Amino acid sequence: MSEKQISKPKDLGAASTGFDDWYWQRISAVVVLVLLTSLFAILLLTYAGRIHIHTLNLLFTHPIGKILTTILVLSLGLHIWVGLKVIFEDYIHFSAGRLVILNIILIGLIAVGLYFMYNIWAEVAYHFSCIPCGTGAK
Amino acid sequence: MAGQTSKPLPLSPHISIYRWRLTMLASIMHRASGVLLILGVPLALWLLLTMAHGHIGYFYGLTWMRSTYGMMILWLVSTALCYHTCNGIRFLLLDIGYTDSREMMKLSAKIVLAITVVFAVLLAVWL
Repeated sequence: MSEKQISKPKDLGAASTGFDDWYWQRISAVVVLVLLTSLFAILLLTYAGRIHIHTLNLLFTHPIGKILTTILVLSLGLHIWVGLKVIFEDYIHFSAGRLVILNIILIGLIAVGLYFMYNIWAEVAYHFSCIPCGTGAK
Repeated sequence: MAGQTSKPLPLSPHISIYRWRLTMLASIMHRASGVLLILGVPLALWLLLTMAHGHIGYFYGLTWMRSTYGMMILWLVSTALCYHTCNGIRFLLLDIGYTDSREMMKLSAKIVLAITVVFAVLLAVWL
């Protein structure tokens, strides 16, 4: 390959965020590794009958449980986003199509993440009887 | 460059060019299992929601988990998760600097595959 070919940016050129992608993929991987493994252990123990369903509910409604679940969902979302981005950037060489697909995926991920957040935290807002959640009747 | 015919350069990934190797298989399976696990996220969300909605919902989810389809899908997703986790640890070790040789990469790929196969068999028996 000659210098001329290298100096000419191909297609859209480089995004120059490759290192960020690499870095955040690893950071989120470690967080997901710790939290998802714990979650699976807890769920398996429940499935096997070692943890009662009431104990499980207590674990997940405790503020620390809610915060850990939130961190897990956010890290998992980030990990999925970077992973899918890398895959689509490798296999789809048509830039416009790739951009559209990646944006649809991003919006979808944000929607699912917000739905997770709603299910984790809405109960708290309900507890403080916020107006959008009704009149606080429980 | 003037007189040379410009042949389009091959774009990554060069799946059709390289000979298949174990480390390459491990890498591609990491992607495949990752995509499979993304499809498992809505399922996990639904199962967690059935658990959060008290006794009736919990038993509804549990009944699905103990049905034939439920067990098959759970087995598939769990095996993919086991592989993705083990191979992910392998990749993290590679980034730190361990397993940074051709022999170690081959050996660790074999170990990861062996763990996954054992896990898959044990899970199939247990489910």
